[in-house]
Amino acid sequence: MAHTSSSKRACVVAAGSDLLSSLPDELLYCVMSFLTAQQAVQTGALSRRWRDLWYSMPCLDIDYHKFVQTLPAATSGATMAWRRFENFTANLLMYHRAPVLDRFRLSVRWCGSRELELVERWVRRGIGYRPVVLEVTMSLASTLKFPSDLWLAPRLKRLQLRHVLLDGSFAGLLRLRCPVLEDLELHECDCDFQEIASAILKRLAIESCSNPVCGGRRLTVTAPTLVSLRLAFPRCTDQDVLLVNGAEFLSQASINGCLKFVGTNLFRCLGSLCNIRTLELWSFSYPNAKLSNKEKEMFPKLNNLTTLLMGKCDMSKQFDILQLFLKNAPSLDKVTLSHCMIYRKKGALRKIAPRYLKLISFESKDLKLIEIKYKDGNASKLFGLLMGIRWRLDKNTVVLIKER
Amino acid sequence: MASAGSGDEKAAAAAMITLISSDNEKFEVTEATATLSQTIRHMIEDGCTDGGVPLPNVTSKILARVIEYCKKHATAAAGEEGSSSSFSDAAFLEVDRAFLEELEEFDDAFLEVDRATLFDLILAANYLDIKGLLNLTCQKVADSVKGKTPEQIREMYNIVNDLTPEEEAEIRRETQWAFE
Repeated sequence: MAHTSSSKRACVVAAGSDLLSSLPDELLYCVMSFLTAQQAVQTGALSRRWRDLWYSMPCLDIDYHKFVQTLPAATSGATMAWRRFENFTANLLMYHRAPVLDRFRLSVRWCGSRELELVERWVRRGIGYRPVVLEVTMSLASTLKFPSDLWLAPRLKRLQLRHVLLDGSFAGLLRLRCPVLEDLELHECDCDFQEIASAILKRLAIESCSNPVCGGRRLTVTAPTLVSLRLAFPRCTDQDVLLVNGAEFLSQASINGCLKFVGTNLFRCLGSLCNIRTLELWSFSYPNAKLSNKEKEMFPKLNNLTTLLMGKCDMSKQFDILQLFLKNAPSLDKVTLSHCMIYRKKGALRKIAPRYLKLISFESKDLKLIEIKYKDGNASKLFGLLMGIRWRLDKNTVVLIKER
Repeated sequence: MASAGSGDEKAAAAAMITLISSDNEKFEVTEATATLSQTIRHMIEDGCTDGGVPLPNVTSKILARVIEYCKKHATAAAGEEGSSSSFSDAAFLEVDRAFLEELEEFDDAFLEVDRATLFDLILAANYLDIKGLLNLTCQKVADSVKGKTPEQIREMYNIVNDLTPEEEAEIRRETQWAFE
């Protein structure tokens, strides 16, 4: 190895040299983007080099939680923290003068009705910065209504909302005002809209959101360019989500709960997911444990599916479905059963075993890995089943992972 | 060490690219590894990589580390188009989690370097336009100053305080709301 460069480097890295301050502005901004806004502003007191940087930093991360943490233990309650937080945020948004932002992140996990007005103003200000990434986190108790009027988000690529109230106009916002939005994540939001339609959305996650009127409502997703989808409605079993215009680019999906959706639409839905490569079904239950031949014939071929996970499923009822997957997914190379259960009497196991034997039908010749994740003892029976057919799984590796 | 990533990869049919460090050392890497760098990706697209890609701003010591990073992360990127978001590193699906955790472990070990190397990596990542590596290294710096006072940060990074006492007092007064 050549060592010719060492002399020059030795000068640059002379002991005591300030490597950090000699980085160009854009790289210092990158470092500052990983700091909270509060600490980023504090860097202004370091030296002349740093004095004015924060005024134009392109990422603002404003987090109420940080103000609660720094309170001395004796200080009383949230009011003091809120006063500091409000003072900080108002000043920051007044003095900070970048015309546009790369990221605006506002996390307010506590606020009453008076504060809500302020927060809404800050969110509007954040949107006014035309950020590429916008993340707003509220708390369970406070329902911030997402501003639905007046805004256009011409640069917004990623929108993440937590505990935010989204009214009927949200669908229109997405469709008309967010021309480049690729990534939408809604967590525990109150959703009062019935449609997500986008010609450019690539990733969509809707988790633990609720409709004010649960059940009887249908959320329609029309997103032909979708690549990744994650739906989780563990609490609301009535939630009915419908994918229309079969997302033909969809390569990975995770569906949790949504029993009605999965139950009634599974086959039709799978049929439209012709390019799906990774599929996760959590708390999944198909209404009929015994499938009719007609239903079995309807099951579509999933030629590209390589990874299947069934999580928290009652496998005594879902073996037929698993069997259908194994039969119809010729490229499958990994099946994971995560925290699955068998709610049956002891004797029933023997009944399932022969069926399970057939289930590894060697349709899926490339199956190499069977992974079983379990808590307590509830998968030991399942493991027993697999061991029973071990001699037929000559190419397979069975992995047991005990999780807490 | 001289040619990190010759061996088995050469046997593969993948197109190979030669990278030449500032001290004239040659590194042969797969195109998949090299194109984690947007700078090199554009050069490949423009068809100007024959005879090797000279990287006059990167020493062989740093280039070897950068390639190590790219190799590991290229296999990650080769997987699913949508599996890792460009915005967040959190696992989108449960099945990706174990893999991403492994990647994280690699990153943590990768960052066990002295400060001078860390800053060389930042500059190289910026020059080669490797977003993941740039974020990783900048975050390492940010983490090191988290929760520290300006005085502590100055001492840590040998930052000379060239503000007059009056100027510093003025800054503290103007941004007092950030120090409460």
